[in-house]
Amino acid sequence: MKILLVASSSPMLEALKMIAAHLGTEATVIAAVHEDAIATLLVEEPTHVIYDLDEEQMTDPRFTFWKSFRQNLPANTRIVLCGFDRLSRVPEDDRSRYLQLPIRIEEFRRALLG
Amino acid sequence: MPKLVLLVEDKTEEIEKAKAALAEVGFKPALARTYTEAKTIWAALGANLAGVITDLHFPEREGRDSKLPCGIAIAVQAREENVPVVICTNVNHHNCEYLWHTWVILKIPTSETKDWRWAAETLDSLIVKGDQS
Repeated sequence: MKILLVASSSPMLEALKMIAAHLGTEATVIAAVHEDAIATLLVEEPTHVIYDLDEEQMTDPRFTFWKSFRQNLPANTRIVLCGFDRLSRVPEDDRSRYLQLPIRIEEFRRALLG
Repeated sequence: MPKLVLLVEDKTEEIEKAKAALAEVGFKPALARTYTEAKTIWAALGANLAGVITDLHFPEREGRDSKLPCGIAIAVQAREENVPVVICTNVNHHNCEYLWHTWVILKIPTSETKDWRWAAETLDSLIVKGDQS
């Protein structure tokens, strides 16, 4: 198992690393900022992705990293979106895979690993 | 590991055909639907990018006019950066002067019948040729 963490800031990446470390798996964990996420996805071929969907990406049309990432995501790669924004602010298409932080690690594990 | 290529195409039905053709030739596509998106993904892929297959007409950015010949800018950038590139369009060069220029002056291989398989195989041969030179 290889988990790709995607976030726009170091604190958020560190937070995601902590979550990944507590999932209880032997996964290889790799990290990327949004700008590099597609390249990392295509080169590293992770089995799972944890993607920080921050507010700018949801509301500012200049930020299209998530849309680009989504259209390049292989169908068999499991992904969880997360962020501190309320679910109602998340685009409708993405709500089913969005987790609002903070969240219990068990819920996070269930969403990512099934 | 399959070679990574940038695929620039805005129409969903064509994207599916292109992906299938690229996979058959052993490529892994990084998909962009607009010029801006293509530039962003191109920059992110850096040295991992083996080549580019681009449509001719697609929007500069999301929600903009899809009839702009943004593919020319992509092709010219590829030529300048010495990245193998093929244009895949359904526009005939007899009706489109700028396509004539990319084809005849820049000598960029072009499918005028939107033949993704031909485009993928042509790109593959360009990449192999580049590897040997």
